[in-house]
Amino acid sequence: MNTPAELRYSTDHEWVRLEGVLARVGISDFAQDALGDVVYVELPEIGLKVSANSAFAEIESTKSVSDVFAPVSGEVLEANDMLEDQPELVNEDPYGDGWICVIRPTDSSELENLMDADGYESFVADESPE
Amino acid sequence: MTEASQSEHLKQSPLDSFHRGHGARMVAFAGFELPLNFDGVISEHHATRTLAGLFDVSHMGIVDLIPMRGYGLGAVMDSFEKITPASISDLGNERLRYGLLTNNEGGVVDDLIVSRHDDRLRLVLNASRTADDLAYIERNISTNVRIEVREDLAQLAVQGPKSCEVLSMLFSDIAELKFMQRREFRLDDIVCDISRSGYTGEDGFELVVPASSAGRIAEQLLEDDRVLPCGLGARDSLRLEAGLCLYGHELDEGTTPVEAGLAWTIQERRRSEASFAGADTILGQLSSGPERMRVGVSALTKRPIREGAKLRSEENNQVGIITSGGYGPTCNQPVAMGYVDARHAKTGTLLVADVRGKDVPCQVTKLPFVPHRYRRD
Repeated sequence: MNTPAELRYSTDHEWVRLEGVLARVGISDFAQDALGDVVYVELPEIGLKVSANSAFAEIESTKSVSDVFAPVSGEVLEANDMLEDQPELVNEDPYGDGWICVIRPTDSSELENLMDADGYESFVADESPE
Repeated sequence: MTEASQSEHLKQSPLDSFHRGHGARMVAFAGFELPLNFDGVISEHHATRTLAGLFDVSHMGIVDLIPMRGYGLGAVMDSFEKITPASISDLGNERLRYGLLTNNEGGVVDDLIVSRHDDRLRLVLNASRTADDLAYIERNISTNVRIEVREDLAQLAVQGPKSCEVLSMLFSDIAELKFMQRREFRLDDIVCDISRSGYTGEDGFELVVPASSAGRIAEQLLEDDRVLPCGLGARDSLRLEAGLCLYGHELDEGTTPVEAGLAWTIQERRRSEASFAGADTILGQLSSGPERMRVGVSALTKRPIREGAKLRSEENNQVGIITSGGYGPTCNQPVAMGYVDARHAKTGTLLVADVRGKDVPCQVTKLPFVPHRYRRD
């Protein structure tokens, strides 16, 4: 499992990369592997106001439909429209071209609730069976 | 993810250690623990369409119908025709036939493959239906027939355009088999009952082998670089693109062969004799037309339409429901099947699917989505 050290992670398996005052969001390598081949991504609309831990996008794999939860509250500024034609980027490059959207956080203190890479790795280890 | 507590109650395939050894992601299916995928559903799907996929189908029920001492196979075949509208008594030796078990109301009890061997009829049944089928067969078949459940056997499928070449490496005369034909081959001292058949729409073979040898044969097949092990995920997307029914989705006891578009499984003689369970209903629908019909449904956007999605007409009336749906890797678009009112079943009819509260435009499409490539001659 790949867990870049410079990112922050939510308990719903989203990652956040701080870019100045903005937060780029995607799903973790662990999450994309658990989902299997991604075939469709329902992106959030630009301008959508999201609150932390609420469902704001959907990822469909060959086997299931999963909600994506906002890791922080804020406004969606940008969505990755490459995923409309290439949803497989979520599998192939979850921390790069497979990003989902950019959010302008409204409450920077929420970032403190996210885990660092070590914290996320032990969280995943505790959650996994066996 | 597989729950450890749940797996204790599930049956394991004779190929269980093969699956785990090759990194399968296991899931519960029809009371068995089976691979969902190995490499990935989409890559396995493409491998089967372009080269050869290896599938474990050992969960399917294999049941032999054997005449009691003093009776011939003809009596078994005649007797079985009571509960299937397929023509069985004239099934040639070493031939297979796809057919349906029907109930007295004309509903489908199961879909199955019937094959004729020298001394028996062999049925291959859906795993989820085997227990019900057995009870139904026992109630209806002649007492001169012995019913043998073959849990000593495993079944592998090798499917795809290279499957014949792959199997020729192990079984020299395999190319002589035609679609829906079978015979026994030997691999060293192992008897393999091989048919040219499958559930993917591709050319392919199914191998019924002793359960104790299945792992060894699977490993041997996998030594060929053209073969990729495949799980249930690819099996489902392949059969969906091929427009093939899955029991519990397109077929159930409340659905008739005519509604399911499977009237072709009822041969002419059976129609004129009208001597099978549910004949009144089924033949009545054949002459007057069914009220609802199985159709293919293509989404006009990229959003997959899945089982349970309701279909509305352009006038906003509910006209049908999706029974199977997902992404079709070969079509590179969402594909689905479902039932719609006969008035809306014409190819090209525009409909709207309700996908979790969102309207998705879609269109009735001719089946199959991907042309069959069976080797009939």
